[in-house]
Order: sequence, then structure tokens, then C-alpha cells
Amino acid sequence: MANVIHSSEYPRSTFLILDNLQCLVAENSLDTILSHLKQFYPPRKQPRIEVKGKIYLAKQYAIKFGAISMGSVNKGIVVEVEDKDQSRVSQCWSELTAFTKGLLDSSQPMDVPMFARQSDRPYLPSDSMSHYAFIFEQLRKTPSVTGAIK
Amino acid sequence: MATKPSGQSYEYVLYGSVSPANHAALLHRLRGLCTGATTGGSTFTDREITYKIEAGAASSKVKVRQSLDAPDAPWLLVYHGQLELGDSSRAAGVRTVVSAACSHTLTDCLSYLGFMPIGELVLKGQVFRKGGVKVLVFTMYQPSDVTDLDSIQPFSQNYLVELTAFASSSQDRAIDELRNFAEYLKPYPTLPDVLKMSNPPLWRESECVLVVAVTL
Repeated sequence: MANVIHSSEYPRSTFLILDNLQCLVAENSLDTILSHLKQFYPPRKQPRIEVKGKIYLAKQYAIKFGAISMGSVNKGIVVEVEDKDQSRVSQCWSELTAFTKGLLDSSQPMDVPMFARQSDRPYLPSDSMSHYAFIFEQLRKTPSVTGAIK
Repeated sequence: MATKPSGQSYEYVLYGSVSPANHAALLHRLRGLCTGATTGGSTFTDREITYKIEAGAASSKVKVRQSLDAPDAPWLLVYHGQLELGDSSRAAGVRTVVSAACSHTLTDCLSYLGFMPIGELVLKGQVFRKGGVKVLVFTMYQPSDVTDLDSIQPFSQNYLVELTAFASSSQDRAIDELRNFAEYLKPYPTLPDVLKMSNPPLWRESECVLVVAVTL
């Protein structure tokens, strides 16, 4: 129904992502409010998903390699490449995909998430979190899938 | 404001009402007592929507507070615990409060999560501060059309006075500060004695405002 995501890059924020990938960005006290309301929702059945890894910087790109673990089970690796100089997807998409393909030496096509191409509005941290939520949902359904996000 | 790392704190609250005849005198006294007196207190116009969620017999409410003066400011999601009254050793009501600043997708997300809006208010008035005490003197309006905020009707001609102080625990000196401050405001806000009543009076529960006052 909804995912709650925390990120070490935004330590004072909590992201609540719904099934329709709409994102609510709030302060950390949202967690306390949700704990007061948990009696109205069914308890969580699946273990937490964690992504841990390192960040590498190359020119204007920040590359994150994260190992995904669901409980104590490893599920794969997430690679995130961020262009720190650009704020709109349309401005940097082609260079970003070329850089990522060169980095991963991958010939498979890069899937574009629908919400990143919808408009020319500035890219927000909530877009990244929605994308992570999308990947986590895919992982929960098909455990053998490894996802790469851009 | 003292808060635990989780964002939860206790709030002491006193309510009263003041008639239009005494409103100017009350504001004059508040300007003298409070910080930022030269600016005369700052005005605010807020829209508050109350949402309710139910599961069987249990239900819970949260409030969404939006500033109409600063449309780009984050919206506030506030959860209040039960207001505890009836303790004669304590001069004010106390309740837990947790608030979180949120993005403007808040109302859509609450509706998606199963919350139903059950009341909407517009609050217009002034805010004063003195130490840890916050004083709001305001009028409540009900928008007759939620999309047209110019068509708002006041509930009554009286002004509502709300005194709040935050504390990190339910046994805190903040209540003394609140009580002492309220003493300075006498006799303008009317504070009917409700401790002796079995049920505190509810001022239009449909708008989800509980107006209760405690004698000092």
C-alpha cells in the first residue's frame, strides 16, 4: 500500500511513497505520527529492504553502488548515477545513459521510468525515492531481478 | 520548544473566548506582555482540515494546517492525543502532540491512505509569544465553498483565545509559566469552569474543535 523510505543523503526527511508512486516528503516526526496510526493498517509482513554501499564521484557524476538486502537475504545490486550539474531529465538524459552504459559495459536498453519523462519540471529527491520504491516492489515480486537505476 | 528526538512533545493548552468589546483591550495587553511588541504581533491566516480514519470501533483524527499567507510553505500534519482534563492539581489541559512539515501532496496521500475529511476551518487572527507560551487570538470561519476562500463566514463574533506551551514531559514547569501568563490576561478571556461538569462542552464537533477552558 505504501512504502516509507529513509535516506542517509536526506537525514531529516521521511519519504512516504504510495502504490501510485506519488510521494509525500515530510520531517522525521512523520514516523512518530505513523506509529500512532499503525492500529488502522495491517502489520507489515515482509522484512525491511536496505541498500548500503559507497558513492563515487567522477566529474559531475555521482555513482552509487548499493547492495540490496531484504532481511538477511541479498537481493542484488543497485547502481545509481546522478548528474549533479543538471536539474532536468531532458537536458542530460543522453549523456547520462551513455556514461552509465560505458560504466557498466552493458548493451541492454535503459528503461525510462514513466514519471521521469512526464514533464520538464526539475528533478526532485522524491523522484529518486519513488524510483527506489518501484525497484523494491519489483524485487518483492521477482526475487531474482537485479535493477539498475539512473 | 522542547521535543524528544521522535518529534513528540506534550502540549499544555488553555482556551477562552473574548467578546469584540474586549478584543482591543486584550490585544493591547498582549502587545505589552509579549516579545516583538513593536510589530504588534504577527497576523496569520490558516486553513485547517481535519481528517478521520476508522477501523471498526476505533478511530483517530489528524489535522492538516496550511498557511494561506505563505502558499509555498510546507503544510503541517498534526496529531493530537487525548486532551487530559479533570486533574484538579493541574491548571491546564495536557495532550501529546506530534507535528510534521510535509510537502503539498499531503491531502492526496491522506485520502489514498483511507483518511476522510470531516471538517474544514479557516482561522484568522494574531499570534503572540512570551518565552515558551504562544498565544493565538483568532476568529474561526467556515468556508461555504471550499474552492472559494473569499466566501467564508465567521462562526461567531467572539474571538477564541488559545494559550499553549510545549513540554518534554507531562510534569514540567511549562504549566506554571502558562498559568502565570494567563493570570496577566484576566479578566478579558472568559474561562468558564468546566472541571465540575461531567462532559466538557463541545463547540460544534462537526468542525472538530473542542473548546474547553479551565479555571485558574
